[in-house]
Amino acid sequence: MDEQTTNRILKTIEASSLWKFGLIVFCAFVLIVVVKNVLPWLSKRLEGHKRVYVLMLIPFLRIFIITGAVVLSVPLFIEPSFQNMIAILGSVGLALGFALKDYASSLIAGIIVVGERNYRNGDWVTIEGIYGMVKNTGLRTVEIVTPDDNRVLIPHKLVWNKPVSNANDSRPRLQCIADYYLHPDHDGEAVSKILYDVATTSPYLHLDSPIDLIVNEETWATHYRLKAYPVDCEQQFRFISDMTIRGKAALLALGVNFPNFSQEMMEKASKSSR
Amino acid sequence: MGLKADTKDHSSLWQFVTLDKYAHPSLPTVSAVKTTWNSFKRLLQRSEDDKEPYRKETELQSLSDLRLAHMMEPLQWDNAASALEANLSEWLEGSSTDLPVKYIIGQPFNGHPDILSLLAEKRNLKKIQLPSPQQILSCDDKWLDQFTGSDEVWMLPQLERCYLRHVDGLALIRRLFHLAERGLLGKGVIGCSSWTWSYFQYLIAIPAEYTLTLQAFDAASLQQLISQLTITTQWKTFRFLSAKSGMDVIHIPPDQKTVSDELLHLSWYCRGNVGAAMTYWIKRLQFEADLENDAGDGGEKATADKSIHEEHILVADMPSEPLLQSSIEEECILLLHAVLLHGGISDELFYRVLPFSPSRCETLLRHLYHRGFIDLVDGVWQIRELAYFMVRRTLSVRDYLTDAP
Repeated sequence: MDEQTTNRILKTIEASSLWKFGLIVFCAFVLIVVVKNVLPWLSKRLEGHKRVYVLMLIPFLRIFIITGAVVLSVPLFIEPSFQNMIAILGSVGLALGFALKDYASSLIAGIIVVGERNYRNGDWVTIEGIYGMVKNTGLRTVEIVTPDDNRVLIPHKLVWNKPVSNANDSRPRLQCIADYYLHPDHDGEAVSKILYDVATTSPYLHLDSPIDLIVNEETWATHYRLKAYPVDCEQQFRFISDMTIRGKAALLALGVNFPNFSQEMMEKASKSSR
Repeated sequence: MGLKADTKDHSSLWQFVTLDKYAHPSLPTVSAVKTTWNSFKRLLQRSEDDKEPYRKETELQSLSDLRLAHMMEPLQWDNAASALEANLSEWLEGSSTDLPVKYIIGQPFNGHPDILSLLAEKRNLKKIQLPSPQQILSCDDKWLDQFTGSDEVWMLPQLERCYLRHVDGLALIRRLFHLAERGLLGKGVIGCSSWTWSYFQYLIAIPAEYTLTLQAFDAASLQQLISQLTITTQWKTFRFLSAKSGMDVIHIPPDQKTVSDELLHLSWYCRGNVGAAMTYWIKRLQFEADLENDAGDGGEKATADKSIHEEHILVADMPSEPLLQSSIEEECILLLHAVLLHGGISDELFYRVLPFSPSRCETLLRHLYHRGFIDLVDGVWQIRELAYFMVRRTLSVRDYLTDAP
């Protein structure tokens, strides 16, 4: 663009425009901070669906605020004609395309994620083998807190070509599985009854959700998978631990043996089964 | 202003219906909106109301036990037992064993063990002793022997004490249901807490036709009950006024055919649970100490006929309940839920039904006791009456299992 064209596109920058721009940026910043702090505060006072919905609002509101700020700021510096906008957007797009390719890719993916609702705040997701709760869906990254309380930032651009596994998909519950490996020589019917009661008597169980038991005969053991839903997603690890501990105690009381193979034997058995 | 009151006679006040016919008292739309708005304001921790009340709570005093005793008779369950007897008389006297067992479901504090004990006395029913925790956990068949051996109709008052939410704690109750439903234990009446019943529906679904529960007390029924229980003479009448608005709540003897918003709200808040509603009612009765002996509001007032004295009693706001903070530990919630599902639990059984160590259970119990949620009654931890509805609401909002009717 020559100097004349640039002058035609850009307005003369005046002190008042700079003040207005500063005010818009400040207001947008304050609003984003308010949204980022007030909605999680409010969500902590709500339960179930209401909590999830409030958390879901955060990224939408942030995009709305940023878009509003951009729409208000651009006319302060640029003559808002169609030709000018095309010229500016083209130049910015080209610059971003070369210099900030990954960054731009993540920003666009962030907008897509909000629209497609691949993951929302409060969801339990697995991305690139990392499992945790979505704490914040930012513009460029999604912030996940793992069960070990690690904060992991994952760029949104991974959604283009990596699978995202969402365990609860914004519902207040997710399925938990307790695994039991038993010596094959046992009464399967009695074990099934006991394991069903293990789930039914757990204080974490959401009783309106189904309880399921899947049995699979492995080469070296009979594998029972007890599937049930806790009342709240955040109870998942305590729920699994509770079912595992009480399940093992009940099975031992029933006289069921657990296989006691060495790692080497298990690997051999696993290879032979393949 | 309130709704028009139904005039019910003494006998129709106490009615037993099947669980599916239990009718929760509802609020008129305006009151419902007001209640929702107040809840929202509480959520944002703002002061509830800036309006100047008719009488400030700080200027009011509770009625002494002696004065209460002279003013109101305590709630007795005899009429409820008579209503249950009338409902069951045909079944008790009949020889058909199509329905060998009747289940009487009661909400906490709604007197189902007392009602069943009175029924057992009236009808000379054989009272079944509750099993010990060891008998429950070992599924001791000998406990079931007391059901058989005679043709007498038996009565088990508290089914909630016959199981534990533990892997080994369900076998005995399943066996009982299995034998009872097939008529192998003869004819009997079983009382059960509404919370336990709700849980049992996931273990053994029992049709509603086998059940009976005390019908909800709506505002009109409550008004009638309060009128019956308030002791008036031909020289003394009572006027209950709202301490907040100064409006009439009840005049005894009744002179109006409408029920006040206060009673509508009370019956709705207590979900038709008459035992709890009467406790709240008594806790709310106050008088204004300074005016006690004056002729003004809050004390005794001579009417046009000088020989009749009208006593003014102020009805304060709902008594303060222990506050369940939103950040309350999950462990406390689980413990309160376990207490309700078992109709009360003793110390040594908590660690059987909860995934906590005995020492952790003890800490939690102490914590909840000091915060006014639970109390130790006859060696069993129970939810306190004034904490019950708060706990119930919290459990319901958090999607835990709540009680049946």
